[in-house]
Formats: sequence, C-alpha cells, structure tokens
Amino acid sequence: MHSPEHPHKSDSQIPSTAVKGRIFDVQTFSIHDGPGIRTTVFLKGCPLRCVWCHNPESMETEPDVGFIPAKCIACGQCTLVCTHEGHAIVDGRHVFQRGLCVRCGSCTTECPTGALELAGKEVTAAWVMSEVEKDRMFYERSGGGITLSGGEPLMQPEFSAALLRLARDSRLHTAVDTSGYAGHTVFDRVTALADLVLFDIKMIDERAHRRLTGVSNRRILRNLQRLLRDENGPKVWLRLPVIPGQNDSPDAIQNLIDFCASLWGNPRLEAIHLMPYHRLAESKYQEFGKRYLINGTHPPADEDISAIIRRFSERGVPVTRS
Amino acid sequence: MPTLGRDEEVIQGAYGIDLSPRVERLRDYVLNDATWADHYAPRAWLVAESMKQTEGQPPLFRQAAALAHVIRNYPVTIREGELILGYQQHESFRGIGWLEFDNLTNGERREALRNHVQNLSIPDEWKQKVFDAIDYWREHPRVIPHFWPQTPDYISRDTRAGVYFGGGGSEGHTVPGYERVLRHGFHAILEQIDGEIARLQPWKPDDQKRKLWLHSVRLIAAAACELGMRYAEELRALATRESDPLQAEEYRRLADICERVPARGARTFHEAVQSLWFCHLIMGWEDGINANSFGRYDQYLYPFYAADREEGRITEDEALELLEAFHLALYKSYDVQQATIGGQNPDGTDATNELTYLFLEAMWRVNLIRCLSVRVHRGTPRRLLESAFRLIRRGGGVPFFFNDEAIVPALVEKGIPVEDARQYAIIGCVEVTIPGKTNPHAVSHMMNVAKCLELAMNDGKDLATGEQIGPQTGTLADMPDIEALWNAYKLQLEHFARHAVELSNQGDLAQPFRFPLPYTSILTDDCIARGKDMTDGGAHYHYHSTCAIGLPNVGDSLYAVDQLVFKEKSVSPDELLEALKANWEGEEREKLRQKVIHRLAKYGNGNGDVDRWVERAAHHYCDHMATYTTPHGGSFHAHLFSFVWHLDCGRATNATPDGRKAHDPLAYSVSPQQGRDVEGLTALMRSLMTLPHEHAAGSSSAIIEIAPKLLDEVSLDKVLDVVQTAIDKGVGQMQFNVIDSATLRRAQENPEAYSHIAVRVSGFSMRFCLLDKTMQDHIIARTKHEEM
Ligand code: SF4
Ligand code: SF4
Repeated sequence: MHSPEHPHKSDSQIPSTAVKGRIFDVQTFSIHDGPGIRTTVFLKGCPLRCVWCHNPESMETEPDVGFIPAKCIACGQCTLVCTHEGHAIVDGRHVFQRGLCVRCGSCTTECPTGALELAGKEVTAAWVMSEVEKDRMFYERSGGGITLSGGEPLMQPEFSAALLRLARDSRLHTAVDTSGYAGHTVFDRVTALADLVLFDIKMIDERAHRRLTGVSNRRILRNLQRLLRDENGPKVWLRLPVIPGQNDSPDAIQNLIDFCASLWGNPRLEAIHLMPYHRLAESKYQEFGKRYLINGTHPPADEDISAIIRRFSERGVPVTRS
Repeated sequence: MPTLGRDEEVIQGAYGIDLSPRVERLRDYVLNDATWADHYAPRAWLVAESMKQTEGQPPLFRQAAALAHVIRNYPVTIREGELILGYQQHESFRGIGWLEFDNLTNGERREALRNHVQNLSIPDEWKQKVFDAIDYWREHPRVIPHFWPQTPDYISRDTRAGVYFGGGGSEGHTVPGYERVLRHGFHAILEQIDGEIARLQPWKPDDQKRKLWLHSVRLIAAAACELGMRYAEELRALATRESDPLQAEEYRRLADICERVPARGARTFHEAVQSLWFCHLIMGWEDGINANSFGRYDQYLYPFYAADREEGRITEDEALELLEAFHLALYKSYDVQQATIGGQNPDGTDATNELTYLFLEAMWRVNLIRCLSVRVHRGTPRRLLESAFRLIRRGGGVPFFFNDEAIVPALVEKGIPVEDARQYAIIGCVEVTIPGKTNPHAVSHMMNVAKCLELAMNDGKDLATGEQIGPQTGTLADMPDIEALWNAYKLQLEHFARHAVELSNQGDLAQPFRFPLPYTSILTDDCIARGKDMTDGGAHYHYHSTCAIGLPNVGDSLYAVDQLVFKEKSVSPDELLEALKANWEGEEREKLRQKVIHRLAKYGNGNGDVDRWVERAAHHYCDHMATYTTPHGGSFHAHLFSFVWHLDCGRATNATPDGRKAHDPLAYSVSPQQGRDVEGLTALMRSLMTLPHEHAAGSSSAIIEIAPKLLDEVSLDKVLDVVQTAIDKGVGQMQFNVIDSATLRRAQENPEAYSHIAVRVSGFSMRFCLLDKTMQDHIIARTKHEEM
C-alpha cells in the first residue's frame, strides 16, 4: 500500500559524501542500539504506521513542525514570518493553526524560545559523518559505532547505503535498525553494508500486523529469512516490542515464541531483545499534533516482562530486556 | 524483569544488613547519641587554663603549650564496643572550641555563647569550666597583630563588588604527614626536634628564632607521646572493673595498642589505624575539622595490613570491621575530612591494593556518606571504577574522581618532581596537596571572572550601579571585534588578579602572627629541619591555589557577543548593553534572551566553536596566575573550582550575554551552566576535554548529573567506557550526581533548568521529548527503587 518511493533518488555516480537524505535527529551516546556507545542517526519517513510508534515525528517523509506551548512566550515572532497564517496571537496567547501550515519551516528558525522546532532536515552524508566522527574515541573504547534508525532507513536506500559505506570506510561498526519492510533488492543492498541488523518483529499474525502497523508482515518475514540465510551477511538482533493490549495477548506471545524458537540456533542470530512499551512518546504526539491512539496505556509490569522471558527460556530461547 | 544486580540486593538489605552487632552499635552511637556530639567543649577551658599559666611568654610558645595541655588533659571517654578510641573535636570550626578567636569583649556574644553552652548535653561541671574560660578571654582578649594595619581601600571596594574575595591564610586544608607517626611514632619526631635543638648555634640570630620554635613544638611532640598512655590506663581500669571476661580481654587488648601508639611505631594494622586516629584527633585540637584530610590512607596503611595478613594476624573481615569503625568515628553530617585512594605509585605504576577496595566496601556497608576521592589514571583497574560507581549509584555524589593524567603533569609544570607529584592527595572538597610536605594555601582567593567580563563590556563600571570598579577599558560600543572585548576582559582580570594576589600574600605573611600551626608543622617536611613553622616558610612546598569562578559563563557570553554583535550584527552593542543593564526586561529583550538561550550554541555540548572560548578563558587564567609568586617563593596554582561560591559570585554579577539573569548563579566550576548541556554524556565530555586541566595544578572540577537509569546493569558498562575515555583524555576531576526524586521535583517547577537530564531508550529519539511528568515518572521509577 505505501510504496516506499524515495524522494531524492540519486544518481549512483555521485560520491557517497554528497548523497543527501532527510533526518530528524543525530543522537550521541545511544547505548541500546547495538554494541558499545553509538551515535544513532534517525532517518525521516516510515512505511509503517504502528499505533505505538515512539517516534511520531519520524513517520512522514515531509518535515514536521513541533510546537511546545509550555515554552512559548507569545512573542509573536512566528506571526511575522509565516506567509500562510499558521500562527496567530489571540488575546495575548499564541495559537498554532496547524491546518494552514505547509511545513516550510520558516517560523521554526525564527522562534526564539525553541517552542517551534522542525523535525526533518535535508543533510548530506558527509555532514552526518562529521557529526558521527566526533564521538569516535568513545566507539573505539566501547566497540560502538553508528546506528541508522528512524523512521525506516530502508526508505532512503541511497542515503543509508552511502552512510554505511562511509562508516565502513572509516572503520566504524555499523548497524541498521529496521522494520524489515522493503523490497528485497533494497533490503539486501543496504543490509549487506551493515555489521548488524536490529530487526523488529512486531507480530506474527498477519491480519493483526496489518491492523496495528498498516502493512502486511509477509515481506518482513521473508526478508528476515533471507537475511538469516546469508552466510556472509550481518549479525542479527531481533527486537520484540511488547505493547500492553496491542501485541501481548497470550496467543500473540505464543506465536512469537514459536517463531523465535524456530530461528534460534541460526549462527547469524546473536540476540533477541524484548522492548517493553514506555510512555515517553506521549509528549511528542502532542507536540507534533498527532493523535496518540493508545494514550493511557501503562508500561508492562516488570513481573509480566519476566514472565514472558521465562516462557521464552523454557523453549530454550534466551531473551533479554532492552 | 532483569535479574537484580548484586548492588540492588545489597541496597534492599538497607544499611548493610550483615553489619556486625558491634558496628551496628557504633553506628547507633554516631547517629543517636547526643552526648557525643557535644563533646567538643573541653578544648575551650583547657586552652584558657593553659593561657593563665603562660602569661607573658611569647605567643607561639603559649599556643604550643596550650595545645600540649589539651593533649594531656582532654577527658578520656571510652564506650563499650569501640575499636578506635578517642573523640574528635566535633564542632566543625571555630565555635566555642576556639574561644581565643571569639570577640568576648562583646556582651551579646558572651550571652549567646553562654546560652549555647547551657543547652549542651555535657556535665554541669564542664559547663562551669567553659563559663570560666569565657570570662578569661573577656578579661584577656587576644590581640591579633595584623601584618598590614588595614586592608587597602581598593581591595575593600573590589570585594564589596564581588570581583574577588578570600584571605590567603593557611589554617586547615592540609594533609599532614601522619605516615611518619604510623611508622616511627611521636618519639622519633621528638628525637628529631631534640637533635635540632642540640645543633643550635644560638649566637646566630636565625637560630634564636629557631630555638623558640623548636622548644615550643617540642611541648606538643612530648605531650603526643603520652596521649595513648592515658587511654591505656583508663582501659586497664575498665578491664579490672569489667565482669564479662571477654569484654575485659578486649579492653586489655586495646590497652596494649594504646600503650604502643602513637608514641612508637605501629606493629599491626589495628595499631596503625589507632595511631592515625590519635594523630588526627590532635589535628582537630590544633586547627578544627576544617578540611584537614587524611591523604592516601590505602597506601600508607597497606604495609601494616599486608604484614598482618601475611602473618595471619587479621582476617579480611576483621580489617573491614576496623575500617567500618574508623569510618564511623569520622562521620560528620557535613564533612570535608577528605581521604584519597587509588592512583599511581611514585614510579607511575598503578597503586590500587586490597585496602583500596576495603575502604570502598566499608563505606558501602556503613552507608553514611562521607568524603572520599578515588584517584584514577590510564592504568586504573576497571574493577575499581565499578566499585566506585556502586557507591555513586546510591547517591550523595561520592566518591569523586581525580585524574592523575591531568593533575600530575600540572603539578610537575609547577616544579614539583614527578615522584612527589604522583603522591598528591585531596584536601577538603577539591583541593590538591603533596601530603606531609606542603603548605597548600588552598582556596586562597576566589576570582569572579564573570564579573570581570561584565566590567570589560562597560568600561570598568558595574552594569547596574555604574560605579567605576575596574580600569577604563572601553565599552562594547567602542570595540571593533570580539578580540577587543577579549583583550578588555584580560585587562580587567589581570588588574584584579594583582589585587587578589596582594590579598593572598598579605594573608600568607600575616599567618605566622595570626595563627601558626606548630602541630601541623612537625608533621610537615622540612619544618623541623628548618626550625620554622609551615606558615612561615618551613614547608618543603608552598603555593596558593586560587579559584576562577564563572569560566563557562565567560565562554558562553563571549561566544554570544561574537555571534550577535560582530558576526550576525543582529544586535547593536548598545542594544545588548542596555538589555543587560535592564536585566533582559522588556518584550524585545526577553525575546533576545530566549534566542541566546535556545538558538546559540553553549558550552557543554561538544561544540568546538563555543567550547573554544571557555578553553581560552581557562587557559588565560592558568597562565596568568603562573606569573605571580608567593611570599616564600612558591607559585599560584589555578584552581578551576567554585565550591558553592558560584552562588555568591552569581549574586554579585549582573545579567550576562549568555542569557543568564542578574544575580542568578554562575556555572559550577567547569560544568556547563545548569540546563544548557542537552546533547548527552559524550558531548559533555568532549567539551570538558577541551579545557586545560593539565595546567590547573589546583585541579578542575565538574559535576556530572546522571539519571539513575544510566547506571542500571545494562548501561553502567557504557558509562564506565565514557569515564575511562575521559580519563585517557585528561579530564581533571569528575563528580557524578545521581538525579534523585528531590531534583526531579525541582525540575517539575523549572523544566528549562533541567533540560540536561537525559535518558536513553532503544530506538527512541530524545530530541523533541519534553522533561514532562511522563518522563519524570520514567526516571523516578528507578530513583524510588534506589532510595528504598
Ligand atoms: S515565535 Fe515562538 S515563542 Fe514567539 S509566539 Fe511564536 S511560538 Fe511562541
Ligand atoms: S512551518 Fe511555515 S507554513 Fe508552517 S507555520 Fe511555520 S512558517 Fe507557517
């Protein structure tokens, strides 16, 4: 349904450094996105629409305008620059009329307080690498490197491939955090450049997957199978989000366990992580004017997570909490 | 659920559930026995008693005689179960313990003191003695001679304006050479003094002076030789009265120890620890608690421990219990009696030993926060960092880390031979000394560099009052570029540095008249050989360390001015000055301030363009202080440390171009201004790495606030990798404060000031995430757990 059409399809002649892509964050000291200390590059755009997505600002390819009322001092600066009447000061209070906004970003660079922020800027691979290089000493000490996350890195294959190539050339450990949802050519081409793939498995049941993420998981599972078959391919860590009330029914968990048990033992598969739901994304949904469909969900209790871990281990599959 | 880490199991067993009954009891004494807390009273009357007898004698002699009298007569108190005997002067500094410094000709003050004494839980007969002492000092007020009759006007004006302050004195803040007493006893010191006396040639004028000094300090050494004996006698008396044979046996065993030390060299670990404690008690009687510190006790106690273990005289558990008892004897609710563990040997190899770990373990088990510093270097075992972080996780910010990779070269740069430099130890909070050899004049004066920048922008005039305080170096409007402001800043700082050095040197020269330190001196090389007090040039090393306060604000401000006024030209110099004078008040000015805070780079985020300014300011300070000399030929060591004075200096400083409002606190030491470092731990470290730690012989200091989540079993390893990288790259000093629920409550009220609080979750981008209730719950969930 969503065909991941890359907006900046680039000529393969241009050097990796010059390839451009759209990102919304470069986060240093990322310590749960692969081995060691890493810098995670968050690429913008995702073909999935998981109801629990914790990076709502990542979903769309277009830039997103975030607005934090608590930081706004109603100075009116934004009203002066917006040519689409996106902002108004009414009775001394600022009103953001998101419906009128065309996401040009002008107001976000003018807002003095940081109440308006733009998620999604176009950058070159060289620029990203210069940011990533700053923490080299920490990667070297810890065995870390760069992780591409998002969003879905595979939605910007040229850019992802360029980043991975550059990182490899400068001897950084490379990881790609993916939903696995991509055409197999793209999938193979990008993952082949990574040392590690962090592969999300959200649900096994196809209909439920479609309902909760907007896409079928057939492609995803097929890509995973292929990835694990490739003897020279990257290492794989499976990551299983646990979202109370969404994908944690006994059946769903049982399916996951069966599925993982069938894979465990594969030499490429290094680890399986449970990723319990957390509520940190709530404020981001408000900020970006998106509806948080699972508002009010509580993180799973520690006991519930340990119970799941126990069930996995009874099947001989060691699973840890991320 | 992740399996509980080892540490958590211990936390849940709060207060070390497996403490021995003895240690439980000692812990209870410390926390709940009020009589102990008031035990500082006797010094008051003992000094007065002695003074009555020595009237007409030279002041130094009288002071030494008074201390000897205290040592000989301080009441001996022994409670059942104690392993380390003797009570420390408990009052922190100069209260009734130091009546000679009080203004007792003032009736109100006398009344206040009397009331204070009346409420102490001490025997009535003691109270009467203190009252008599108060009367004595009323009738015989101590005349304190000043080296210079008056502080010059310009210094009074500068300090009133809050540009610098301090006194240059050297009471407190030392690490005496206790090691020598542990090895050889006070008898050896007495013999050395007698040897020097025998060699005197009193017809020589210098030797006249030495003679007085040597005869005075001799009184102290001789009294110190008898201190243990008084305890031994009391213990033997207790043993005779004791019906429980085991307890009686213990008393006799302790009596044997006190008979030996501190008069003679210790033969066992227990004797060594008791000897150390006696040495330190006397220190408190001379000079108060006052940041007099222990130095590298894991090093100098180790030979005694190793020999006992070798001979099978002690088990590890027994040693641990002893250290726990020692820890408890030392405990104060506010404590600056620092101790140092770990680090390098004089030859540069790693010095960590079993005692290093045992000290950490004792602190962990007793579970009362006290000052402790771990020296680290490239070769520090990972295990030591892990043990240290186990304590850090519990909160309280201890232990601190001091990096040999920075401090040793800084000391060497000051002319201290590398073998001695590698023996450095920490005093008080964050001050550096070479133990047993130094008069370090720690925190000799404090320079408010942010105020210097304020004056540099405004022709030497205070921004709020317009008072001319500094030299006329022009206003921002006259300056063609940022270099002009930088030069004006340097001129201001150097002008005030001269005055501040004058203040320090004046204090230094006055010290031997004001309050010599005869006891500290006999434990400090080369005082006895030179026959001179450490306050009078007797010490082998003497230097002053002086603090620069507000460096991060200066750097952020210079960068902001450069961007706004000179590069973007979006703000005119006058507009900026007016905004600062108006404390950013007014709509447009607030907008500008918000822009400065949110849109301009800040120190602490690994951004080289702005970090460079902090580095430049810090470097300039270190270099500039190196141009001055102390009265005894020492140097001034830059100390990039603010203690709590960044609050005072902040109060004295008007609005600054970094977006800070008038009177708000300045940055702590070399930490970023609160809330301005938002890029995470590695970025912060990169900023810290740019600073000239290896030129700051007084040490730098940085508090790093860290969410408890980052110290859980999964993340700790990575934090340790960051710390080790920082050590490799020469970051001088680091303190990790684990964010607790109280901090988070404050954060709820003022989220902006806490935007540096970060968590990391797999695949989650923090950038647009607010420090809101949800996030606080996320952090606090863990914090509560830790605080159980
Ligand atoms: S510019 Fe920013 S602070 Fe000013 S009114 Fe607009 S959103 Fe609010
Ligand atoms: S992003 Fe552009 S269109 Fe949208 S509110 Fe801001 S200025 Fe207006």
